[in-house]
Amino acid sequence: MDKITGTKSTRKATPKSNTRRVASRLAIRMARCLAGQKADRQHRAKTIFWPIVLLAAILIGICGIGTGAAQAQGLAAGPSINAWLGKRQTGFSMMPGERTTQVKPEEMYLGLTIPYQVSLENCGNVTPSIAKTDDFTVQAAGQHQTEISTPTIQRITTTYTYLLTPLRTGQLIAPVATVEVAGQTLTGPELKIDVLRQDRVELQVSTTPSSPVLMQEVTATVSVYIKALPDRYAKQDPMRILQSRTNSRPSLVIPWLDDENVPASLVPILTATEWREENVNLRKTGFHLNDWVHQRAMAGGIGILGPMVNTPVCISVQPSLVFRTDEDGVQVPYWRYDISRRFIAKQLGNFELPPCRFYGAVPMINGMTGQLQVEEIGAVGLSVKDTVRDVPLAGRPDSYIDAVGQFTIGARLTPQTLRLGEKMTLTLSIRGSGTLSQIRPPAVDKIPGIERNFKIFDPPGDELADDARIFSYDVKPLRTDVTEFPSFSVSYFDPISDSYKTVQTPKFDIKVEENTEVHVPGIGNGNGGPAGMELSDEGIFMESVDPADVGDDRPRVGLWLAGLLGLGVVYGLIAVGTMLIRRQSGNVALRRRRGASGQARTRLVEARRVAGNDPRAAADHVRDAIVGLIGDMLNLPPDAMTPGDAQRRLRQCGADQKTIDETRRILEACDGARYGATDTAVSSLVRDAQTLLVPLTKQLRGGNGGTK
Amino acid sequence: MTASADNTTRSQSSPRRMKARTVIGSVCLLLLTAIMTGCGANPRWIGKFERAQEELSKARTQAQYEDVARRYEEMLDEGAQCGAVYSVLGNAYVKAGKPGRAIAAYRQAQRYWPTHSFLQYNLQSTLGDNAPADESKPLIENLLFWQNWISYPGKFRLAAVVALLTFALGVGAIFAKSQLQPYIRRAAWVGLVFSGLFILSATYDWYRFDYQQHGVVITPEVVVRKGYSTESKPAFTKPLLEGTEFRVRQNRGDWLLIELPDNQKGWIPNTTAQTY
Repeated sequence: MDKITGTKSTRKATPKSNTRRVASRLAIRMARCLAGQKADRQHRAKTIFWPIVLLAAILIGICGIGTGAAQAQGLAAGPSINAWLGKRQTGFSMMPGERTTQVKPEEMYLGLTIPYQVSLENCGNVTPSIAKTDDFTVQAAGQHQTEISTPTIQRITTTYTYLLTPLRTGQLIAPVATVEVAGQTLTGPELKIDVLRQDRVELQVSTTPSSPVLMQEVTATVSVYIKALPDRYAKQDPMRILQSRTNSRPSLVIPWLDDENVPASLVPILTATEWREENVNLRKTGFHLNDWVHQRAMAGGIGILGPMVNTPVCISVQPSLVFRTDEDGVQVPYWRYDISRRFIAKQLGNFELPPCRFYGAVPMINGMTGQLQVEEIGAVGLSVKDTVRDVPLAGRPDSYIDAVGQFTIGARLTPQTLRLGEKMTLTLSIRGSGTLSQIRPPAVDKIPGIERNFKIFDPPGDELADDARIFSYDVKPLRTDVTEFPSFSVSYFDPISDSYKTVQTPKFDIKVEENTEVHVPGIGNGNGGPAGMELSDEGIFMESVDPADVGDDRPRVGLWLAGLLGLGVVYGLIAVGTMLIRRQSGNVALRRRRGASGQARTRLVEARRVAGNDPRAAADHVRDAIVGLIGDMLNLPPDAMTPGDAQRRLRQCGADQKTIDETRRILEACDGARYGATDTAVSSLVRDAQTLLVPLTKQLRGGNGGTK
Repeated sequence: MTASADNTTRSQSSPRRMKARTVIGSVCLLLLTAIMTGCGANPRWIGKFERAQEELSKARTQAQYEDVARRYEEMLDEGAQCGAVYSVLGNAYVKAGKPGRAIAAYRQAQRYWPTHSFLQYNLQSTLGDNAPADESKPLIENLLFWQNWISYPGKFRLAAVVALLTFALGVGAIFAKSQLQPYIRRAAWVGLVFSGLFILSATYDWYRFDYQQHGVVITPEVVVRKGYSTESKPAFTKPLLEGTEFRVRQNRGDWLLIELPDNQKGWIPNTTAQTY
């Protein structure tokens, strides 16, 4: 029954109506409580208070559990992985949210690069793995770590940044990141990105020739096609237009311009440094190549070197206007820029040139305004795979000289008339395009017709020009009866026809004359070499030697020295002796004294000889002997001396009386003998004089010579 | 009396002078004979040489040529050191495939046959591209320009002959008549100068042939080292090839300190070279 109206409700109870009834009753009670009726207030306290308290308790309990849960979660948060495209810059972060700035490109051009970040939370010291994919190139670009530590939160986050470069157009999925933590593999999200194609810039990489032969020269070329601008700019080089209006230079990344990125099968002909010196410029014209920079000091205002600045290293290429057919079959004009590098295929097998990339601004015409503007464009030149094949073994001739290419071969021999023992020069020139630097000189000395009749000196001279390889051999004919230098074969491999080509050198007529100027001592006539002399196979003359020439020809140095010294000594003795002698012989008195005795003896011998025939002459000789002796010994003038004079002289010399008397007697006897002396008397006179000679000489020698 | 005394004196002294001249002349002749004549050809050597030559003409293999070369070496050891033996020894070594030893033999032959055409040719042919570049001659060889024209023993003989001639002129200047004396004395002085030059020439040859030791590499190649040990570092970037000639500067045990024509030095084992 309704209390107010007393009307009993007769409606049938339904669940919905029950709910309404309970709610209305509660509302009425609360209204009455609020209206202040005491009985009602007490009732209210009973009916309202406890439900509120109960509700509050429930709420507090929920919050507490939640906080506890939250706390439990923050202190021991599990590892997690996240990833996104673009670069997220994290500011000051706090729960519940973070303030972030995120770039999410929805589309990008093929060739451009997009950052890709992978975040690892509480994973410890692990690095994420990025799945390999053919759709992108992935390049690590660093990492950074943030740490949050509060009473309720503890979180260590490491963010790894990568640069993704798509390699094809379409909707691609970025490489998925995974990480192994405590035996569990966490996988990052799959991120999709639309890579769009553009036809404004295209790259094409090619190798020429394809499938090169071992040791063949290979040229790798990047062709950059930039679409020609319409209308009045149609004939203008877009790079020139760009450079005339902006300072930006589009970048070209060609990995195999750096030696470390060259496949092992290929060896660059010029090193990277040499290639750069030949091709690049610092004038900032053309393409900025491989992000190379050249550091130089900027000059200060007063000529003092200023700070270092980086100048981009650029390559400027003369383009050509070509037409390419698009998907609709329309001929579209493009400017083509070719950048090449040459290699030698050194190893057999497959090789791959890494993809090239273009990115940067290119000029374009705004379709709406018709104004010239620039647009950032990216393009990729896909990698090139090829194979280095071997020169075929089958059919390889013995005269093959490791030449691969197209060549012409010529030969020259000079002089063609010479004497035995002289040299000729065989010049072999190989001209053309191909592996000129790898060619080995033909083994001319092993050719049978040549080996028998000629001596070939190794190694030959070797000259490499731009389009020729020239070998020069010194050749000597071994005999005078050799009349021809035969032709021989030289072979090379032509990769275009894929076959070996053999060329015959011309034959040369030669004339070898006798060598008459060679003189061999000790042999025969000595006017020239023996007839028929020929060189041995070793190129030497095996001349015969006269056995009579054999002996010990070594100089006797000791004897020679002794002889020279002896000569000197002898000469010295002679010179000194003669000098002394001459000094002495200049003394007349001395000379007379020295010769006195001999002179006297000679006279006495003469006296004895003529005593028998001519006593007078004999007596004169005896007298001359005695007088001459006294005169010579005393250096008296050789005039007549009477016996008295002789006596007096002797007395002056201090001669003894006996000698004096004897001398006087003999002299007087000589004077007497002149006038009728007999031979007997003269003979005894001679004897007496001879007997007197010695004591008289002694007596005279002992005394001082007197002078007249 | 004066004239007769003088005549007597002169007649008495002329036999003495004649005697002196005779003695001096005999001494000169003896010396000349001693110097000019060597040992001469030993009949035993001639026989041996002829037999070796016969074997040389019959030899066909390298081993046979080596045997012939050994015979020539024996003759050299016995004392038959002359251009003929060294020359054919060099030929035998070339045929035996030992160019290093051949070069050593040819160089020694050159001392006795300095202008022998075949010898020069054979040496140059064996040296081939190893022939040393034209070196600048020492000053003394420019002064003594005949140094490489006259043989080693020839220079000694020439010096002796000129010295004897000078001696004779000197003695003649002492005893010559007063009218001729100045001329003979001048000639003697000229002779003395030439004697000095030829003596210097002979001495220089003795220095460079007998005093200085030379060598040739006889192995296919040898590494020259900075020290006399196989553990020493190589002195050059490349080994020396057979036929490379050098001067020996020092001997130490089994090692030789060699000096190349470009004055670079290093050590090699003495088994890899032949010295002379």
